[in-house]
Amino acid sequence: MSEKNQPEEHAPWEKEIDEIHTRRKLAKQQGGKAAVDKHHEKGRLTIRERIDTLLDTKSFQEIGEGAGVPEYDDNGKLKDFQPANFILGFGQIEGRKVIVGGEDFTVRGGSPNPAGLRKSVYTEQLALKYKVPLIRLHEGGGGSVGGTGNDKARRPLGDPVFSESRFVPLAETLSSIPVATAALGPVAGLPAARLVASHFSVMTPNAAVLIAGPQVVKRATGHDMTKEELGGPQVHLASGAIDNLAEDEADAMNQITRFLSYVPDNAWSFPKAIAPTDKIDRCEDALASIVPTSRRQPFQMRKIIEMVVDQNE
Amino acid sequence: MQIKSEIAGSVWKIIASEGATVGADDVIMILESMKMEIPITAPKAGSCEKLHVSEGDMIGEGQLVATLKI
Repeated sequence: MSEKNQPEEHAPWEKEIDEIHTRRKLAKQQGGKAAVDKHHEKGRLTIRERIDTLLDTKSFQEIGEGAGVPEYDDNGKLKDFQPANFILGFGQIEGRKVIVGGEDFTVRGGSPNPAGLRKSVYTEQLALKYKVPLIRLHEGGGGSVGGTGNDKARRPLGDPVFSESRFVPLAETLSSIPVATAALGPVAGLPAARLVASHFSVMTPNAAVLIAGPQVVKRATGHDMTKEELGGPQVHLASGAIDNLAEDEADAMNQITRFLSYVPDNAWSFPKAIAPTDKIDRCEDALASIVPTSRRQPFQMRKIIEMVVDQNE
Repeated sequence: MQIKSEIAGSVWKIIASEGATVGADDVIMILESMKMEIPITAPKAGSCEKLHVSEGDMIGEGQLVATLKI
C-alpha cells in the first residue's frame, strides 16, 4: 500500500459528540423556565410531565430528543437551541408497550416547528412499524398563518412534493392499532385533526378543540369568539367530536389506561383475557321485553348494553 | 316542579289528568315527533297540578307542558 493512499489522520469527533449531549440537555428545558412557569400557572402540566403521569414509572424511552433548530456563533459553536416541539418515545402502560407523543406547548404554543412536525409524523410511522398502541397527548396549534418573517425558527414547513401525505400514516393507524388521544389545552389545526383521528378521545375542562383559533375566525368572519365558545367541552360534548370529558389531566390519563385495557395491541392479536365476574348462567329476562313491539316507541339502548356485556364493564 | 319538553313535536296522547297522582318515571303524556312516540315522564313522585297543553297541540323544544306538585 503506497503512502498517498493512507487515510488522513482524522480530527476527533468530540465537538460533535459534545453538541449532541448539549442538545439533549437543552431539549429538557423545553421553552425555557419562564414559558414552563407560565404553563404551570394555567394549571397545566408540560408534555414531559404528562408523559410521566401516563406511563409506568421510568419506562419512557425518548426518541429524537436532540432534534431541533440550532443557532451557531461565528466560530461554529452551538449558541442556542430550540428543541422540536413534539416529544415522542416508547413507554409502558400497565406493563404493555406503547408509543406516546405530544406537542410541547411551551415552544411556540405547540405550533409545529420543522423538527416538531417531522417527529409528529414519525410517531405514527413508528407505531405502525412496531404495531403497538399509540397515545397522543395534544396541546398546540397548527401551522402559523402569521407569516415567517425573518425568524429562522419559523421558516416554512414545506415537504418535497414527492413526500407521502402526512395524513396517510394517520389514517393507517386507525385500521391497524389502537389510537387514544387527549386534548389537554387549546388544540387547533393539524393537532385537532390528529386528536379526532382516534378510537378514543378525552378532553379536560380547560381544553378547547378548534379548527382554527379566535384570531383566524375573527379575520375570516368578523366574529369575536373565545376559544371556549369555539370549542370548549360544552361544544364538543354536544357535537360528539370528543368522546369523554375528564375531571383533570390525571383523570384523562386514567381513562386512556382503561380504554387500552379493553383492546389488543393491534388488529392481528387478541385482547388480554380476564376472569369474568358474571355468573356463567346469568340471564337477563328483561331483554325479552325491553324492545317495544311497536316500532314507534323508543327504548333505552344503554339498558340493553348493560344487560348484554359483563356487569359493570 | 316544571316539566318541559326536550324536543319539538305534537302532543299525541295525554295520560295523566290534572289532579292525578303520579309516581316517579310515570308517563304524563306522549309526544309524537319524527314518527316516534316520545313519552314525557315525571322525574319525581307527586301530583299533576296543571297541564299546559292539550292533545293535538304543536310544541317547541323547552316548552312548559305540565306542572307537578311534589
